[in-house]
Amino acid sequence: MPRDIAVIARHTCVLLARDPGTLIAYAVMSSTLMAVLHPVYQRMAGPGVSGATSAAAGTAVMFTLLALDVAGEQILAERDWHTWDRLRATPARPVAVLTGKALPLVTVFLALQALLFAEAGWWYGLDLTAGTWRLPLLWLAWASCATALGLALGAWLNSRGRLGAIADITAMITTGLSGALVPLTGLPRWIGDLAPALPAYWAVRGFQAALGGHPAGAYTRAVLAITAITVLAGALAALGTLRRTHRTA
Amino acid sequence: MLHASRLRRRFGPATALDGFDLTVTAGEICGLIGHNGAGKTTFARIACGLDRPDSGHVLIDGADPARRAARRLTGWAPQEPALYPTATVRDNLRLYGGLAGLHRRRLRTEIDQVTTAMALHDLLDQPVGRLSGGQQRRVQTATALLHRPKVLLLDEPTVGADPATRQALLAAVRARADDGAAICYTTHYLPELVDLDATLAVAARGRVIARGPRESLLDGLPGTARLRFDGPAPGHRGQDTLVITSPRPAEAAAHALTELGSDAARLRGIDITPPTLDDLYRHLAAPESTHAA
Repeated sequence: MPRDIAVIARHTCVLLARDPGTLIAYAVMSSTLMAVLHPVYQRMAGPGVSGATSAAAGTAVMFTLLALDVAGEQILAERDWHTWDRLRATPARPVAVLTGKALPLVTVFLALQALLFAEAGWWYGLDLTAGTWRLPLLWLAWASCATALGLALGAWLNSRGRLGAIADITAMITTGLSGALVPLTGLPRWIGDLAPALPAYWAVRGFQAALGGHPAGAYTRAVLAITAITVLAGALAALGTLRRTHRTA
Repeated sequence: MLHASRLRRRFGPATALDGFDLTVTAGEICGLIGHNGAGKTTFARIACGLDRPDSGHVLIDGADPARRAARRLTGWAPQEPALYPTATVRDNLRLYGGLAGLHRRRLRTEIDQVTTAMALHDLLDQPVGRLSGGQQRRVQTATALLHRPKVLLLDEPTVGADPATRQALLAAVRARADDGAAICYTTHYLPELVDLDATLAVAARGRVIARGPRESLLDGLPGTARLRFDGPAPGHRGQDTLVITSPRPAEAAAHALTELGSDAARLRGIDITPPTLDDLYRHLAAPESTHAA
């Protein structure tokens, strides 16, 4: 099975590299938006959280969520190209196919976050060393979560149009209500009550905790919450894939 | 090698397979012919492990097609192109070859050989989406042949191919059969089955209604002899051609010549047409189709 995963992961990298427009656009847009919004984040920063931390965390979370459709596309395109049945007719197991598709996406989402935090460190003085191992671990956890959510959307939706619409709406609403776009201190209280139900809230809180703006334990709770959501979304993606397998049969 | 027994499969009220039996032995090319809806594609999907029959079974070298061991032995090229259009021909071949267990040098060697055999070598680094329909069909067939499977299921692989590339593709398929593969070849171009020296299976209404070597299935079907005359044919006012329909048209024509008498001087030509696969197809499948309708 590791060999099948490697073959599919390599092929997914080829597909992403052949059509990189969306990912490049998200990288440029997120970088630009962070530059534009940094002064706003600076003014609205909550106690113990720097503007640079809020800007980097908020932008990284928002654009990782906007890129959910890139992940979902990896499943939906297989149906449009009629290649799903060809994959099923090979000796590769469905879990190997799903894992092989997920690994490059996790890497891409991880790189997108690293790029934004590096930019915040370079231009806005964000002290990345304060996060030590906790920051890369959270990048990885959040990248895995976004990948699982995107694959689940791709496995359960039936068209690219729906995927694009739902991914964008989900990303914007989740980003807005989680405090990623505007810090929760600047939003109505009911949004603050609702925010813990959203994965983006835990990502933002985790980044702030990793860089020293939250009490001890907040980081661990954030990682655990993100991991739980990842497992749930991964299970949904697997179920959706199996459902598709039986339906096409 | 490929053995299907009493397959039944229903999709809601529609019966796709209704007692489908077929055995293809190692080294044999079986031409599976039949009207659209005869059950050919459903059979192929079951043989690939993509679908399960309601009853009956398929064995690939003794194994259930749903098992990984059986899938490694099977190559399948479906009717509609199923390739990654943004990836190159080489990328597509690497994927399917890699999943079939080919790696590194062996994978490179097999890609080289199959693309050369199928006149695809110059297209290796072209994105599949930029190829013509016929070229894409060849790439699809190449992905099925790549790992030298023991059982090959090819569904109309020559659609859209020009005569030269069709011959290259048929030669590659023939070569795999000579290497011992059992090949189930679906087509509507019946002369291809003569070129492939294939045995025949005629499918209609979800089952195989005729199976065997071409010669034995054609035996007994009527062919035609056409005798053309300068002026009216003997006994046919206004028509210059005497048409004789017989299971042995050449013998019938020879017999007619002995009875021409003075009319033999007006004979301008003789055309003998033995029974063809098209005749067989019409003879066997058409009544079934009409009945089904």
